[in-house]
Amino acid sequence: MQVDIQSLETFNRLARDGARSAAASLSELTGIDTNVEVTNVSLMAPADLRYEFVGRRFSGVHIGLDGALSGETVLMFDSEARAAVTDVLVPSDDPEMERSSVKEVGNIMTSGFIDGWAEHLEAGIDITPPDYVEGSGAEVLPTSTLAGDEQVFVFRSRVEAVSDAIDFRMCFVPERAALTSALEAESDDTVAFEKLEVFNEMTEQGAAKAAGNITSMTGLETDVEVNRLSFVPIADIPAAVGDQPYVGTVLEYHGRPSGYLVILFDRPSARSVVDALVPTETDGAWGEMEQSAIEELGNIMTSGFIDGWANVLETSIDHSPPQFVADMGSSIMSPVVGRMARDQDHAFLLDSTIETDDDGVFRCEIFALPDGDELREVLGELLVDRADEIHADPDEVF
Amino acid sequence: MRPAGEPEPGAGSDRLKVSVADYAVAAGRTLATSGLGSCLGIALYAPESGVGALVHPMLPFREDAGRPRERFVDSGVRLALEALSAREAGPVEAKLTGGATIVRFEADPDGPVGERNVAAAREVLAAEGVGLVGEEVGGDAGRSMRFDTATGQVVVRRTDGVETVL
Repeated sequence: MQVDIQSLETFNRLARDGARSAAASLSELTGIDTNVEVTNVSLMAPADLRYEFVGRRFSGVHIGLDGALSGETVLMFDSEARAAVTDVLVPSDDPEMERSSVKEVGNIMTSGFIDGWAEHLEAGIDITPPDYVEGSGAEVLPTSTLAGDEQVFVFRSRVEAVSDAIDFRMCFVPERAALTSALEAESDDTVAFEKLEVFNEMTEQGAAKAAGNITSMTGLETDVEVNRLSFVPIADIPAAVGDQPYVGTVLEYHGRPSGYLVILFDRPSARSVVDALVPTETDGAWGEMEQSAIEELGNIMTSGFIDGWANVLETSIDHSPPQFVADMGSSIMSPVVGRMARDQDHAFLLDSTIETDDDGVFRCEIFALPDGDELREVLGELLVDRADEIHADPDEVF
Repeated sequence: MRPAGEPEPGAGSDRLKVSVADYAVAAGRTLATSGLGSCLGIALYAPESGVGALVHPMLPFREDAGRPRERFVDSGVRLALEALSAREAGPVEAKLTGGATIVRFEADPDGPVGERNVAAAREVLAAEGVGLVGEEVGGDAGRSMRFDTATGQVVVRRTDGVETVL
């Protein structure tokens, strides 16, 4: 099955417009003004999606879709957003009224989200009555993401209030068959769905190799917790990474494909890495010795990551020496995406999170941004149609 | 991307966040943006009417008409000026921040994009007859900015802890 890249862009826009429409409905109903921060479509294993929501409480509505685009949507308010909505709509402290107001608001917002898709597909989308959902993490996710290990396409939007620290999320998981027929190729600008899956699996293997490099160099036991391939508007990438401070490395790789690799540690994790790598006591600043330690680790992690791609894609990929960076995540990404924005509107973003076992104390994010056209070309040349027919075994090449 | 002339989103709140490659126009409220690395934050202020615009472009010049105007310094500034003019805001002055070099790429024959963004902003503002009345640009640290359209004051906070009022 070929995925048409133009259609993917169109679908991304529909998701963004849908999120804006949902945000406008929220504003109309409650007076809470919002800004759509991030919209993207990701290909990921259901377990990785569930992991992202672990430990946070959400409430909202689940709505099933049928017709031109079957699947499931969940609109989730975090606890602060729920409180902000119910404060406006339910003056008294009545839990039943609060639930029904969340359900009603969620229903209206989801309708706004869906309308644009129906219009684009020029066909009706039937929706089931809304189900109120409330719970921690994965309990609120679409049921199709709760079982199985086949990768799913997830359309996600994160919407934040302009003045308060509240947000809500839209999560739309179309059924694979429905999505593939909707994305049916209209141009030559296509890439095989199965190859995207293979590439995503390869990247996870590469991230696992990079995690192994961290462990062997620092003694910190790490693992890849989340891995996803997203198709994202270029201008959304800095916001997707966020404003929190990071320390890490940025480098360019050249070959087929070329692109950028950004490895970011949160500050305490960067400090742990430096403490493990630099034997002498340091003064806590990011001096020359600390910077070169981070660069050296970045260099070794990159080799693990990039060599795997090159082996599987049967191409040669070189990389520049890593450059040390310490700044807010969004500022670090701005020159990188600035360069890509010269000739791309959307980009494939491969994002892997490496953490120590379940405690989240150590955290490292790897962002790989391959050139879109070159990635399409090399995937086009991959001599496989399905992951299980690939002639290179990931365990052998990584 | 909002076409100029559409109602401002969030007209009821006192702070409006401007995303990368976007702009907003407001009166009597604070416009804010963050994640300024090589990007620019350009505050355009019309003191007579108290209307302001904040533009957050990524790249210097728009060479392809198919690209979004908000993404580039030259077209983004002109877009915001058109929006101010549509509101009959009156004469405009500018304050400029951002344009840091956080990453130095090998293949940047024309110099780092942050520096080129700053040069482009000075050029387009001069060409449009807009006075540049304050700037805090360059260096190697990221920035966030708040622009109070009630007073024209711009506060720039760098990630190295330095705060500047323009």
